[in-house]
Amino acid sequence: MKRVVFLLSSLLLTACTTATNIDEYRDIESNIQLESPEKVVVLGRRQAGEYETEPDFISCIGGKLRRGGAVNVYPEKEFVNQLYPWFEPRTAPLQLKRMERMLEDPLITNRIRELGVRYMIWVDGNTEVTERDGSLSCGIGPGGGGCFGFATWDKASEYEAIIWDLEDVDEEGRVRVDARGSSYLIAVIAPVPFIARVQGEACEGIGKQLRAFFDAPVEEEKS
Amino acid sequence: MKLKQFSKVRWFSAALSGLLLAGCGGANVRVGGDFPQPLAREIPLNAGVCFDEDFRNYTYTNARRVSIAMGDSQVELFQVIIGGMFRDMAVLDAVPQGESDVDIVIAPYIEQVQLAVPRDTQLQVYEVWIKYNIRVFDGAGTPIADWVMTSYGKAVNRLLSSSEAAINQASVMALRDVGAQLVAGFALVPEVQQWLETRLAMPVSGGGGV
Repeated sequence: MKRVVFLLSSLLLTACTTATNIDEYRDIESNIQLESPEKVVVLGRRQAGEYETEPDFISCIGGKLRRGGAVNVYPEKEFVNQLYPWFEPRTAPLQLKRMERMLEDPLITNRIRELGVRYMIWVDGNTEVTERDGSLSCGIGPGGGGCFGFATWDKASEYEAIIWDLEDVDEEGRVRVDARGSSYLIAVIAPVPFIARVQGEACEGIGKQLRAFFDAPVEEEKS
Repeated sequence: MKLKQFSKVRWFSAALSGLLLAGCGGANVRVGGDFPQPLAREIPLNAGVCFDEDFRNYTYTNARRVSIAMGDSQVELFQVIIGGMFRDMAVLDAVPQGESDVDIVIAPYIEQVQLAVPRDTQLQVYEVWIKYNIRVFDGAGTPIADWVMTSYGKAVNRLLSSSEAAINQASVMALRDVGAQLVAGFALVPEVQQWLETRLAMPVSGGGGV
């Protein structure tokens, strides 16, 4: 019994570990000062064939930016629908040059202005399982059921966010995050999971860093 | 107590059987999603759009007992897109054979649909390709162009989400892609561009614009 407790304790200590690295590149000297009605939209890239930047990760970053009223975030899906079909995988501007050309069309520029969106953050990357090991088997009989075994898997998150100013049409900076972590599942009758929050850590890291680019909106004085 | 235990086992067996049956393949999907009004410059013409019965009721099926009913959704999409691209839009029963109230007629036709599932590609994505022939006529039914286009949509297979939901999402993305190609490329199809420039007596550019 002592051995099982020792094994479980050491697993608990080593399990769910995540390592997160964040790199930042700034093209601006001071923070971006948002005016009161100006909004930021966070968009995920969906052009790659084998993966797509997860919509829930984009919502998570939006949530981190909104925290404490720091940044007014326009919802991704609503933005894509309001500008349909110019932000679909086939038509979305992936380079600043293409965005500049797109903004030459008053139809698109006016719609973006109407929505109050000043900054766009493109997020590219995903989270995937990089390695699996162990085996787990479950059985059921008239007397009941249960599982026995041990499984482990590693996950890696890699994302890059690029901030574009749509008014001046230039790049403000980039944030890159990569997080890795191992999760475990031990089953002695009932399975007990120890899950590493790899994507959650990546969101926390990139969200915090992106928020540091912006100063909270300045409220217009009431006359 | 015994009855309770038996009941639990039955529930578990039923759930397991359900999972096993679901794992054997087969899915029935009725496509439904968001098809917003396009942001397009209006072509100052009255358009007619014509859907035949096959198009209205189109259902893709394959050997793995997967069926995708996309008739209603593609009719909705084409009406929204064509309606947003032209000054006015009317749904016609057939392509006119002689002078009519419309200036241009669009009659889409599905040539082929393909579905790829994670089992085929070893990637965690569901993919849908739809090959359309967009037949374009003038108001009197004279053919202007046959524009063959292939649209593509994909959805990532997520934990705890059903294959039906992923196939629906991939199909919706493929339909939205048709809309994107229509808005961005319709006026740039050489035969259409030439016809529009003659008809409107002005140069025509992309973006559904004139």
